[in-house]
Amino acid sequence: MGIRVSVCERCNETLVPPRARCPNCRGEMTVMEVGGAGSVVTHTTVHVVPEGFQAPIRVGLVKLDAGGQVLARSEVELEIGMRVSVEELPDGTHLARPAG
Amino acid sequence: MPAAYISGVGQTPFGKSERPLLAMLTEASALALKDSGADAVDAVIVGTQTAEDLSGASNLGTKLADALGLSGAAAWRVENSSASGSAALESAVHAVRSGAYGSVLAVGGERMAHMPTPVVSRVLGRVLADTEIALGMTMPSLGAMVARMYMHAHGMPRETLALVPVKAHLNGSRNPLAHFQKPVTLEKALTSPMVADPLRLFDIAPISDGAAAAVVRAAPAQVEVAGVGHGTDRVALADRRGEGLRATQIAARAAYAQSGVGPRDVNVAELHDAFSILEIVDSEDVGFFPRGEGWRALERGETQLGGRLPVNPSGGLKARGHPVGATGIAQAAELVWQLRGEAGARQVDGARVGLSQNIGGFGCNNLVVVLRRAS
Repeated sequence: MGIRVSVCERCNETLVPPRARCPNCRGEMTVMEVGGAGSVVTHTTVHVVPEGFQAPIRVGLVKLDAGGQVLARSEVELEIGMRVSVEELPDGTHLARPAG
Repeated sequence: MPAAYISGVGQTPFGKSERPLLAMLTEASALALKDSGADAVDAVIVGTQTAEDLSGASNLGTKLADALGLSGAAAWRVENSSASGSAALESAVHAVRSGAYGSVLAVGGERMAHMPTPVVSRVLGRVLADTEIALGMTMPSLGAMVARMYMHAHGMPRETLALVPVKAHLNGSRNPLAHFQKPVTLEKALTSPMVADPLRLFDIAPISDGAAAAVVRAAPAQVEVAGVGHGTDRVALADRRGEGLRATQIAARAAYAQSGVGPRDVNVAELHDAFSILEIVDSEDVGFFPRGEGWRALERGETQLGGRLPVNPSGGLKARGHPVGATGIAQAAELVWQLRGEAGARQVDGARVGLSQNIGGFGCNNLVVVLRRAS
């Protein structure tokens, strides 16, 4: 149930999804799985969606306790500061659920 | 560094047009060449983002040179998302400063309004990160998340955002080339349909057609290109760190360093208000106001016409319109008119230094240009 991230061996930058090189310092990044616990930094509900999608789309930017940020879809209304648990879905996208 | 000057500018009326992209590029170019008093240029650079997707057009540099009777001149196209116009201008400035060409025509344009909004949304949204596209994110939805973050961090009320389109439409009503030339009320802006919460229709620049052009040359003219800065940031919003748009901050630092002027010297500015929140964030990123203070300056009227530092006297992207590739050069054209004292009912009295800021992608490839009245 963890999320795959990459952590820079040199500067500790953490990115989701994983990358080979750190955009901060060009250091090598190590891929690892971390827990999905985090807090909502900001969010929106999209009412006018691109061709091929169904409105509304709820998404939040989540700061992970393990480091880094991830953009995740949500089925419920989010709030800034809300504690959530983020899951990586088989298609590589992420889903946030209220924690607890 | 050798100097570069803008000797002529031109713009088609922005809005909905039935004309092909090439026809609009040709019209804007002819106006700029006439304004410059030039019969010919050594090179032609076209900036456009969606020519293939929305206009079915390609090879536009060559076609434009041909259409203008400038066949023989060097010609090329630059694509830099919604900063394609500024990137064309930047390329022209560097081409002139390097000594490679004595005069260069920089032209930006886009034809978009004939396509349904979901199609335009999808095409424009392609500039986002793959992780964002996969979730169905659009440009406005990222703007919405930035808006909510800013409101939370700096205590800005939602109502304040609506002051941006209200000011834009008032200024646009004084610009005969603007897409929208009618003022709107605060109430209308605040009750317009929700697009991506908290951003409503009036917080978002329209889909427009149009083109703008500028002649850049080495020989002195009334307006000097004092500085051009260009910066990038990580593409995905989730990968960015720090407040505001780092790409703008980098571009502004470079443009100020080149020009030897600072934010306090700027008399008039054209900022990339694709979303209302961006005008506020931009005004902080280019150093006009401290972080978190841009909305207060807006509320105090400092950025309206007659204020201390008018922002977007043209109407900005919101009211002048936003044919994406044209925007960067339309910003420069407005500044040239302002610095030459030719801006009519929206003239900023005595403007000597102007600054434009143009965003590419969702804020990840931005340019800042400083123009100065030549003494």
